[in-house]
Amino acid sequence: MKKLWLTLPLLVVVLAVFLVGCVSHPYEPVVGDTPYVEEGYALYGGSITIEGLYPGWSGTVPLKVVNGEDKDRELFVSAHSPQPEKTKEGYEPLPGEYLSWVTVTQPSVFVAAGDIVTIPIRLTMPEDADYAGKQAEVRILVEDTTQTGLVQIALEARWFITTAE
Amino acid sequence: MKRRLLAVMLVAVIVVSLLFPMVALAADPTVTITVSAKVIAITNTQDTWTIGAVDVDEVVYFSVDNTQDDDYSQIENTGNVAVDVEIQGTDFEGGDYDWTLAAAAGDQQYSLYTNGDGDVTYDIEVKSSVYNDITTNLAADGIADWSLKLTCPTAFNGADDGENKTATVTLVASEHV
Repeated sequence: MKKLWLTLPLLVVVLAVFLVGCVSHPYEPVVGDTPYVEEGYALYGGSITIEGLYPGWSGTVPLKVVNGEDKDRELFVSAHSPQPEKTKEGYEPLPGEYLSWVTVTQPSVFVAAGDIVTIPIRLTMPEDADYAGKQAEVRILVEDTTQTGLVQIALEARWFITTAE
Repeated sequence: MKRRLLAVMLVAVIVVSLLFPMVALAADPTVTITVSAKVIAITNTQDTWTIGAVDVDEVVYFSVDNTQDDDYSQIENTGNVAVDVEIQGTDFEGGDYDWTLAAAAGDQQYSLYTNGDGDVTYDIEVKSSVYNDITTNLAADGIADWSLKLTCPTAFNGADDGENKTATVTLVASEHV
């Protein structure tokens, strides 16, 4: 009987390890070599696809910005839904009430000349979300707030989100 | 008897351990995130415009001397994928009275249009609320010429406040899909 009581906790631990391994699904972003930028700045990862999003899932999606050699920059990062006519075919703008799923935890980022910064952006689909089987687009806008002239440049990454059925 | 009981329980737990992952996977599907290796970057050759003193209804162009120059500035796609470039403007702010950006010039309202791709026609409205395309599907290493046509307000509130006013125009590049 003692053996039974010793064996059971061990088996419970083994079972728990199995469960944790199955419920957690880490992802591996697919990226190649980082580009060299002489002037201005660049987004590395112009489009990001997120497939199978389901209620209760939360994770961090990296946004890589490569700064040019010309100067230091202060970047401001924000998320917004695109105009309906500017979304990818088959996608709709992520409805405004769901835009809070995308949070930029550090909207202002300093990046020195020639440096590369990875900005983490949190995506969370709430447990009670009613948005199954949809395809939605979100834009991540990166602005350089150190620009002073009339004409300024901003860059956008496009997120294509597909939610699970 | 105890050994048999232990063996049965062990087998039962192993079977459950093998089955549960399948159930868990079915309940919580995998989320796949793919970050493309596409680089979004543009440069623009002219970023300043000193207009100087203007009159009501005056029309000025983005150029060295405010005259029409359809390819005054060049946007270059320095990334590795085709991009769409959108344009957005702001009100002119400064002094006692701001100028509001509008579709047509009016009392304290100015209008701003761009030609996109160096056309002679300035028919792309620059808005403050939404972005309009200035050029689409600009290939990597491609160049798009452009300029601006600004029409001053039809009336200045309280005559002319004589103060400098500033505005910005933002070019936003994103991957062409």
